[in-house]
Amino acid sequence: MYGVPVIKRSLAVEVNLRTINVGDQFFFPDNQIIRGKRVKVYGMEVFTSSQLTFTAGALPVVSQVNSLGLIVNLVDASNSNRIFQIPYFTFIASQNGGMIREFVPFELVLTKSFIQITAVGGLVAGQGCYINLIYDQI
Amino acid sequence: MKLTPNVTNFPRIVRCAQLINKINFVVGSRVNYYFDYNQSLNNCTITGIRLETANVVGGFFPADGTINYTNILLDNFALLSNFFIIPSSLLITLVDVDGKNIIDDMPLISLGLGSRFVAGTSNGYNYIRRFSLKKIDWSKSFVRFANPNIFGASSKLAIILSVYYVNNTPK
Repeated sequence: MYGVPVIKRSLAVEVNLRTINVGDQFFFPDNQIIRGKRVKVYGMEVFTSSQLTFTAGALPVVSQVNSLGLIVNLVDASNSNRIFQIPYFTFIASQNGGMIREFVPFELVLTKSFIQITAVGGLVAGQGCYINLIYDQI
Repeated sequence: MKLTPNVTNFPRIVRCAQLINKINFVVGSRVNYYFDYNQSLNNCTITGIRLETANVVGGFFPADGTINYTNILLDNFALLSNFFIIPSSLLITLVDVDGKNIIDDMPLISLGLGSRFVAGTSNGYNYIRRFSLKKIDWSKSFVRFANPNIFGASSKLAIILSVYYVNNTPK
């Protein structure tokens, strides 16, 4: 069955929405846990304030309604936009009965992947996106 | 007995252990609350983890799922409800015996299955999170609050995890 992958490792990624303008891009921050390592990602779950009010870095998490104005881009090791402009909302597991979106495993470059704003709505500078990447080391 | 193939999203339970993390929540205190060392989980493969909240265990709490801080369950420690977990943003980190973060700051709500974790809606986690984790050192693993100031009063809380696991056969 799909939707509930077997988690070998998971990594929390917190993206700070520092400015709120349509088109603004915010890259995933470097993470010391996977720094210098190659990882393949095979699943992803995101959260809104309906499931998690604060990120690990104590940023208020974007609300479910405002997350409609966000899209996700994941870049692989060959610099291609493997996951291109997919809505953030799609990855909210609690909207899918707990199901996690799965990928055919690919080598992710964390710091080239980013979140982009497509609609300002009620987004506020300083809010955070919280992403759980399900991965394994290569 | 030959088992039929497991085509559900629930791991087939071989063994299940209960882990309890008793937390003395102090307002504003940014600390990690570590689990106790667990001998039975010392050298095994963890296949699933489920957070048991007041939303799925009856009898201890008022019907609306809110926390009754006066109950005497578990030496005056209250069982968590999703009511508490979501606003306080509890995160769990699992560390292996080599000291590496295997599960990094995963929201505890992701392990919680309260199908009514938002009361009156159908939102929720109806599936058990499945894992394949080897050599997790629970005494190095912990939960923490992303926002320790969310509530105004200190309290005693108990996090209860059902851990599904299989023993690794020694070679």
